Amino acid sequence: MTGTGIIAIAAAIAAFTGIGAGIGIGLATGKAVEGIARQPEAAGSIRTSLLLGAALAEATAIYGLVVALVLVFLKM
Amino acid sequence: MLKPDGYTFIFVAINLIILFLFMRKFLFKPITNLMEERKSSIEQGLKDAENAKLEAAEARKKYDEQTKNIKLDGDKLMNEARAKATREYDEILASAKRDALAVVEKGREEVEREREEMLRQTKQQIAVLAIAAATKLVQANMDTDANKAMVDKFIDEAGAI
Amino acid sequence: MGEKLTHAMESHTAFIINLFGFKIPVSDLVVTMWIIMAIMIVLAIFLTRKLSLIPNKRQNIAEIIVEFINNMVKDAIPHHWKAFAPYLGTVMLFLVLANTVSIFNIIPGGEEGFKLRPPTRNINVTICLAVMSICVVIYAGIRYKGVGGWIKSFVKPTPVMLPFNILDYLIKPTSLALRLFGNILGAFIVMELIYMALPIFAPALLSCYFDLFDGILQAYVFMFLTSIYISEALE
Repeated sequence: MTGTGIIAIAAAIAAFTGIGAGIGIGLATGKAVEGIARQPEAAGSIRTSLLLGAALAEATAIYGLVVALVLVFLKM
Repeated sequence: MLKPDGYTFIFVAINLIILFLFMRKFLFKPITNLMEERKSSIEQGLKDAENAKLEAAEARKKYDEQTKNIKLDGDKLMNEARAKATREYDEILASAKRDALAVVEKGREEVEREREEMLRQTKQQIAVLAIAAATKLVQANMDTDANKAMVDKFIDEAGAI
Repeated sequence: MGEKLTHAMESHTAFIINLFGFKIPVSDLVVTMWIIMAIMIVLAIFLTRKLSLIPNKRQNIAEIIVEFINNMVKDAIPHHWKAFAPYLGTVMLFLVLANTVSIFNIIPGGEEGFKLRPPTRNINVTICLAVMSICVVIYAGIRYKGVGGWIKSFVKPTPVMLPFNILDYLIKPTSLALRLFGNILGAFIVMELIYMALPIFAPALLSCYFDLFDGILQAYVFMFLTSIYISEALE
């Protein structure tokens, strides 16, 4: 197991945090679509809330990306 | 891209502060003040319109009251004038009646006086006639007092008729 | 290809200022930021030329922008929004422009020329923005509640919460910085790869999502979260 090999595997494992974000945002979008179907007049505000929630939930996936980048580029 | 670089940090901080000061002075302060001023001027205009409407309603009410008062006053004046006219008419009528009565009274008095005058004259003439008749009839007995008293009594009785 | 990518991602020294004997390296991030500042200041002065109560076209645009920002700040901070709207508006406008500059690359210069890249792809810039935002939050807490009141708010629900409240003040800027940095860097890497792979049509379509949408959304999220933190510190 050379240095770069370990680093590559570690970076790949760090990128697994995207799973949580994907599942969470998918569920939120499902509930949002259900809300719009139940009351179409609130579509604008539901859409705004969905985008805001998605951007906030994406942050944890981004932390994984940052860890992977630090591993690959700073070769720690 | 992940190395901490102090100079960039300081530069970005200075840039951000300068940018914030510029934006606040040129963009945010004037336009926020302008929007507040516009909103307050619109509110002021609406309030002024509201006040003007209230004042107009009050003036209208006062004007209505005034016309009503004027009408009442006019009615009162007319009633008073009419009452005074009736009263004067009555007075004139009464005074005329009184005058007429006075004239009638005076006339009656005069008639009464003339009658008395005539009666007195008639009484005198009856006395003269009676004395003449009695003298002619009783030519001799005229000097006694008793006959004279009888003749006087006869004249008085005749005069009392 | 890896070298080209790394070269694009790294920040390079554009020029060096010699000041009092110190050699201060000015990286191209700062130059890009100066260009963005110049655009913003010129636009601000140009749009507020002649102010009147009845707006003409230019003033309309400025009013739309300012009113949009004021409404968003008013939703989050009900009482003292007037004092914080300029800072939040500045941050939002700067981030909207900074995250999307890479679509304005009109100078063809290959890799060695000067290309407009988003300055927020470097972690120093985002950490600086996050630290300044937290400074504004602390300033809000101290000014409107007094120093004693702000320190007392650390033990607000129960004294057990003291370490968590202190940790809160360290986690918030970290999450803000990393969120912005990660999103913009990821979008930038994908766009660079697309530019290298399919240079003709695909960049124009995909940069609609990666550059514009992502950039504007991240700018809005940054400003919105800062306003939430300010309103938390004020209540």
